[in-house]
Amino acid sequence: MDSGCVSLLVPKQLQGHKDAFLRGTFASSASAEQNRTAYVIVVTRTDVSCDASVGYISNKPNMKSDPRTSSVWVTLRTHSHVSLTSLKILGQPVPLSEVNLVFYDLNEICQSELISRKYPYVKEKDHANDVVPYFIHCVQSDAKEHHPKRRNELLLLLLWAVVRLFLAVSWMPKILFEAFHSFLRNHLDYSSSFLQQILLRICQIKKIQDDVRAGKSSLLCGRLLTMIAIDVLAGVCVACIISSYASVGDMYSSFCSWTKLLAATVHRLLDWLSGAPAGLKLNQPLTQALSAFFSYHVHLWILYLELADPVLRGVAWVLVWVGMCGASVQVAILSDLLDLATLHLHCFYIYGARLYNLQTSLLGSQWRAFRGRKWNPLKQRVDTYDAGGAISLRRVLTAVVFTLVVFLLPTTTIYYLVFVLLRISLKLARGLLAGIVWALNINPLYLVLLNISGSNRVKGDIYFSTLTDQQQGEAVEGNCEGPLLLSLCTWPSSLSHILTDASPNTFPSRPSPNWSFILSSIMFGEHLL
Amino acid sequence: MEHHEWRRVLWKKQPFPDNYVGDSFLRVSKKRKELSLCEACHGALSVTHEICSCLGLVVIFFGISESHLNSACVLTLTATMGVGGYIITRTKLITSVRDDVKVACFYMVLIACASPIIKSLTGSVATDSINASTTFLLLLRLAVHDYGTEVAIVNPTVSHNVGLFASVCLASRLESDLDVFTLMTVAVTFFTLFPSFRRYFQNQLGYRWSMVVTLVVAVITVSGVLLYAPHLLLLFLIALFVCNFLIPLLYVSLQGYKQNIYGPWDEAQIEGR
Repeated sequence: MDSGCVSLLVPKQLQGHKDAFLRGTFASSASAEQNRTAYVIVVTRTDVSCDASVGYISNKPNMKSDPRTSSVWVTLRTHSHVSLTSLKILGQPVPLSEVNLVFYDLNEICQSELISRKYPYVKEKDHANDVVPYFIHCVQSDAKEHHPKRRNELLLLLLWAVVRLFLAVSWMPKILFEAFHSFLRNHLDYSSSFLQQILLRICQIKKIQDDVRAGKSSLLCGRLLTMIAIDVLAGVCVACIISSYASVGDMYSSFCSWTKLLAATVHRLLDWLSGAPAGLKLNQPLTQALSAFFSYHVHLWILYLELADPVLRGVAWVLVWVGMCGASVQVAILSDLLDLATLHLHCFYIYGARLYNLQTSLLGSQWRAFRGRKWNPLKQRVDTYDAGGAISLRRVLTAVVFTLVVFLLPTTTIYYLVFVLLRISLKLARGLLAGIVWALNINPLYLVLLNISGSNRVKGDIYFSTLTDQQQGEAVEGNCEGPLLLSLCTWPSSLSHILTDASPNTFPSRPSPNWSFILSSIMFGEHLL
Repeated sequence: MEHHEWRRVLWKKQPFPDNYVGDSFLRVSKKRKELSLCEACHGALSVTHEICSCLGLVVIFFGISESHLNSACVLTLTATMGVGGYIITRTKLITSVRDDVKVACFYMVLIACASPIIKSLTGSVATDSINASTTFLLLLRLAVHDYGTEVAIVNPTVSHNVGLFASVCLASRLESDLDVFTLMTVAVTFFTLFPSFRRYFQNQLGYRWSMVVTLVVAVITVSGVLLYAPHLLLLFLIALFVCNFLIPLLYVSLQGYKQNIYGPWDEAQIEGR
């Protein structure tokens, strides 16, 4: 907006307004051109009293008004359409061709919550040349002072009561859950998604409580409420549907039988491997030993399931009804149960990975020693190393160990592959469930609905457009004497923009797997998946 | 008058004009060490030794696996040879007797413990693969063995370890634990201890005694091949002929064509390894 020296922003709502004084703010700073000062004048509302006003609406022609003592004085004409009659700055009339007259919609700017985030207001900046943040700040602070929002008291009170009740009930369990969660995380290196989800839900309700207490119903609050409502609805629906098909006992039995089937399949697989299938070059004594060891462990697993049956039945009953808190909690519980049921597969994977890691590291070091080299950890490189000189039996050890490892390599690799594939499929299932939980947690339905209905609250972008002649209703062809007429419109900001802006405490970040870690852990077996 | 020989120095007043260029100006040297046929044949003796020890291992393997040889006898023979060689070379060794005995015991125990594992190592690998890989590995051992020269391809560690790898491949085909232990001990003796013994007595004895010893070794190997692995006889004789007569003849006749010029443009060579 450099073509003129003065930017004048006027609300569209003034059209057809009767005579009154104009209230607003203005600022000035040095313009880009030399020796000229740029001004920005924001008109926010009208008032009958004339103290601290910046202008006057005068519909009667040729009526002069006194500029009083303010430095700027704007005279507008509002009948048929808003137009600028005259503008005086510091007592001097300003030629109208140097004025940019911008029309804006007051409601849009006041109700929008995202626009001040996109154009943040910083004091002491060059306001007259960087008009938009200053303008937004003036309009919104003016609205806050003079138009406190009227609230629907009863609804708010009800919401407040419900939220307080919930937080009071869940105060003790929250502390327990947090302690348990941190214990699991630090000592057993396991992040339970059920506990995470519950804690996240409590955090979100606390955020709602903060917002309601502050008395404003922001986008965040509305979004959280919608999300929790949808979640609980879905959870109740799922529980009703499942309970109409089968009872909790039936579900638990089917889950148990599925786990036993998995154990039996693993047992069969191990039996097949111990028979040294052709083409796989397995070493007979070693594969028989490994297969016997793992089969015994599978047998222990089945025994464990049978022994723990009554206890787990009670736990399952409790968990299904806790899942009424929301569909995301149910999915999280399912994910945790999956992990618990396949605990022994996790053990197998650890055994296989450790053996494999031992083997690869032996292979690497002995291969280097085989060629007469050694890893130098000080300089992080491979050096030549001659073991002991001409007569030396030390090289015999290297040769023997290397040969043994090379020939035993197929056997341990096959066992490791079997367990790593099982582990990866379980991890995939877990990742899928975590993705569902995340999608339920960042449910953007509220924002989408607002966007579709054209609500002013999601408007976050500003664009200028010139007003055409038809809108002015006045022949302005060749009128170089009048001000430049612009219209300031708002546009809804994009969904991804709003979603990425959200705070990480209330909305979890997208679960993204670390691919290089996964690949290196599969190849070398050093870090466990 | 050029009665002085021009030298490429600045501090001496020489009776030559300033722009005189003498013969020794470029410091070009044409190194050529001519070998006679006798020297070439002498060098080929080490190669003969190696070929004989590799084939000796194969012969003993065939003998044991077809039960012509008694593994206990072979074991005692190898042990006596090893101890005998150790006593002969005792004067040259720097380590004490106690340390050597400790090391030898440790490795005996190691091989004894590894024998049952080695026995079942290649149960699922086909015989053809074993034969092919053993041949290849023994050839590789011959190729990179240290025969006394310092060439880039020489890598004594690889040659020794490859030899032991080949012997493990062979030993895994045998039936009983004692057989495996015997073959492994023979392999260690031939591949670890014998080369250093050979280096010792080649330094001590003269050219003639080396020839005699080589002849004895070759005769023993030929008789072993005749007895236990007759299908390898032709191969062995061809190898001996090629190694001892053909290659030295070829080398001596072709070395006249070698023209290497070394000058100040070459990279500096660091002496020693």
